[in-house]
Amino acid sequence: MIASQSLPLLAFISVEQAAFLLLNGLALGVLYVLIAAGFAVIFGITDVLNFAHGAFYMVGAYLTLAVVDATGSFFVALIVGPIAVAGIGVVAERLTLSNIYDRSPLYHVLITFGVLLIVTELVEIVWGTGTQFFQTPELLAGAVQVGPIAYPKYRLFTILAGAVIALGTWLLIRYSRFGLILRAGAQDQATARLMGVNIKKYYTLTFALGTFLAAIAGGLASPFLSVNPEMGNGALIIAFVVVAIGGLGSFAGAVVAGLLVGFTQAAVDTFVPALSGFVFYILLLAALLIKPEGILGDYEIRKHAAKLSYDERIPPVPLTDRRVLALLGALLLLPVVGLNTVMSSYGVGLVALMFIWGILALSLDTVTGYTGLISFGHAAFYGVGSYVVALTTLNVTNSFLLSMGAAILVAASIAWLVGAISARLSGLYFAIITFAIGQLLYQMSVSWSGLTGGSNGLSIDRVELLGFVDVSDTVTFYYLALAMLVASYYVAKRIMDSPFGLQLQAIRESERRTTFLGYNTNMAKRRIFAVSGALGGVAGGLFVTLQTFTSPETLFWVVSGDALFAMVLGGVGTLYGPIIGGAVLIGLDQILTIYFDHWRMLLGLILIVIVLFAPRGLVSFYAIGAELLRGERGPFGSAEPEPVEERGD
Amino acid sequence: MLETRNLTKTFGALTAVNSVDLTIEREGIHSIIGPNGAGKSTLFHLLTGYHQPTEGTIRFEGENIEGKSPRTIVDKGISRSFQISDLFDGLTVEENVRIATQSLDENRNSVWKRSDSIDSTRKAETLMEDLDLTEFADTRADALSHGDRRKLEVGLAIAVEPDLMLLDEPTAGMGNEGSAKMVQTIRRIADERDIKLVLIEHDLEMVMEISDRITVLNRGAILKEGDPETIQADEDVQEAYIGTGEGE
Repeated sequence: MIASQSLPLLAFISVEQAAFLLLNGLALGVLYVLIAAGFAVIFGITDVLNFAHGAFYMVGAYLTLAVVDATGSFFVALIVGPIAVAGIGVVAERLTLSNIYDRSPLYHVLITFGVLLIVTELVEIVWGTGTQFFQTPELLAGAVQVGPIAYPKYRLFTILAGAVIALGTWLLIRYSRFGLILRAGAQDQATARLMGVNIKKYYTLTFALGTFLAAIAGGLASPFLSVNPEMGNGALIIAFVVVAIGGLGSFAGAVVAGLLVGFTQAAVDTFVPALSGFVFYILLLAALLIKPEGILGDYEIRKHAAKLSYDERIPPVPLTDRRVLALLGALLLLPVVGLNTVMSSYGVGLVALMFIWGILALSLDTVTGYTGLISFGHAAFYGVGSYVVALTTLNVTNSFLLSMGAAILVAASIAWLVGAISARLSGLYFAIITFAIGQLLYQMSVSWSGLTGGSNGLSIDRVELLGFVDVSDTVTFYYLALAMLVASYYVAKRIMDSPFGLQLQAIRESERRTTFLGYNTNMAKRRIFAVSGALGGVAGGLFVTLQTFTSPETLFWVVSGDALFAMVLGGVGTLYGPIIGGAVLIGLDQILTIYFDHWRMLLGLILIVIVLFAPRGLVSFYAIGAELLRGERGPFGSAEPEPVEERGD
Repeated sequence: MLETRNLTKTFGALTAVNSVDLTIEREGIHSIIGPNGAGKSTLFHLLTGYHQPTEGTIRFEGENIEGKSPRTIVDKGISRSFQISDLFDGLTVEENVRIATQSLDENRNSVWKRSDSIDSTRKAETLMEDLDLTEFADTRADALSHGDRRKLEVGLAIAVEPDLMLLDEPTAGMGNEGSAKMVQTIRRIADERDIKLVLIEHDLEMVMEISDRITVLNRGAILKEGDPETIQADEDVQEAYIGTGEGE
């Protein structure tokens, strides 16, 4: 841009600025459209929220880069790389999702989370964790004159290529036989099957198409964004936000919303750079408050209410008083006996950390296991709890009771607010909104460094229980955490056994019917969400007290994913199962990390195996084991095929 | 007891319910019949707040209830059942009935009492006995036979102690014998508890036998209204049914 030639368009913006803005917005927008399109296609047709979408985008970037290195041609790589990723997507889908399409969306979410863990670790094993340099192909390097300005050729190419791919996808869905079958299957699976369509095959093809689009977006983005294992996170958030704004499952909605978000982002980057990181979340919240079904959402939200169905033929291990007392006794004695024999103070601290994760998974079980709302944002309450305790300790008082009280209050209030915004949404919308709000808080903790210490986090030292007992002592803390765990369990259990708790379970089974019995289900959802948030805050507050440190990591969405994992690992909908799951998961996490660099891959595998073969978690192992021993059950489920029951309704 | 004036519901270009003036008296059983797509279920959706009317008014016991939420309308004394059973599948029969009877309990929102110890638990037991479901108290709703599921479906509507109960094809998918028994049970309980019954039914023979008053809907509008004899003899009604296939 040559300053002397700049022409005023409006008082505050020149023609050149406007042209830059337009093209930047278009380039970003097209990229967002591509990222979200694959996600929208998969969701629209299979009803699966694919948490591995960002990971496939990342692999797309890496494989494109690899093919460039091998062949020297960027254009060949941009086709071959994404096709290879689609192949990986097909394998992943066949091994995981294709076996569980008929299950609750909770399991879809979790199994794709497992795929994400494995894919990310594989990339790190092959390419390392560093950032790769991706050179812009020679033909597209440099700038070209566009009207009054010189604009980078590569960005223009992105706009063009993105538009062609998006149009091609739309034509494919709209006019091809493949598209027709996909749309028919999305409308009515049973009928499509009667017409002789092998719907599962088409689901696999859909997944291939979705991952192909993710990968080509990754390949296109690489020359002007950095290529590293973290890049998938950003893409996943973009996909979520764009799809939620555009209307779940609507391809056209994804296009409109992607461009809208792109232009807004470009404008905010130019005029209000301080808000740059918040554009997604502000747009999403605005869209939700104004038009919760999305710009082009013709989607019936109720149809996709996330119903958790439990298989009661696999009863969990009964929780008898004797077992509870025995376990409690053992836990009370553990530090006393352990410290003198096999355990270090690190070990005692680790068990205390297991209690903390037990509380976190328990808090999630009250909303997800009992009320049927899939929260993918519980990191918000965990993180907020930890920050509130840290901030009160640093600035107000070092009394643990007071800072914990504040943490509970703040976490519950935020949870109530989240509940108020999202309670009228059900099913997967709820998962998306909680996810987005969690990430919004994460972004705040990174950006508002004056208050939060930014990505360095906050450190605290001595914390006291009402001024005389030093809680920083590991053994004291151990007993404190145990007491909080028992109290949390007791509160949750009392609530679930109460009339209010029965209401929650009724909402899980059929919110519509609960309304027709005269209950205010939105109020019930807000209330339990506040309780759950408070418990999440307790876990976070304990965490910072134990570690004497907190950072934005506590608010990151992966913590929410791990919490869901812990809940299902232990046994969703049992309250004590998730406590076991939380303890086991964090225990594995802490121990495996000592021996393996890529232990999270192992966790991903465990998660997939649990979802596929033991969806009711560890507490069902006892019953499954007994069935196996009696030969009533093969390793892949019941020995006898399920009787197919035709019900008149 | 209930009165609609000019009640209309359109979905885009389709008028599902067209300017319906319906009066439901306190006494007797009132049935609503009509061919498929006549707007019967939509009418129920409007009366119970599941859909909001495009036009028109609904008065119940002298009070306007159009535009109110389902929850408010239940509180005012109108309950309903669904054509396709909408039960709490993962809960036991006893819990299903209990969540319904609990809706009137002063402790319905308590978070600290045990849900099986509050007063309404007794009511749930009585209702299960009345419905002959006691032996399945601990069975999950999704493990019941179709007939028992239909019974529980109606049971939930009874449990909230309505003055007026709208039953959408309570015997759908049941055999003749089962249907007859089911209708008997419903009538008995409704009599005992002084509940006014409004039914949507497909089985014309049964409708003629049990109803005191019949409204025939066709293409969203009221075609005829009268006692069973009048309706049976009416040529327009026969025409409407034959035109779209008998009884379907």
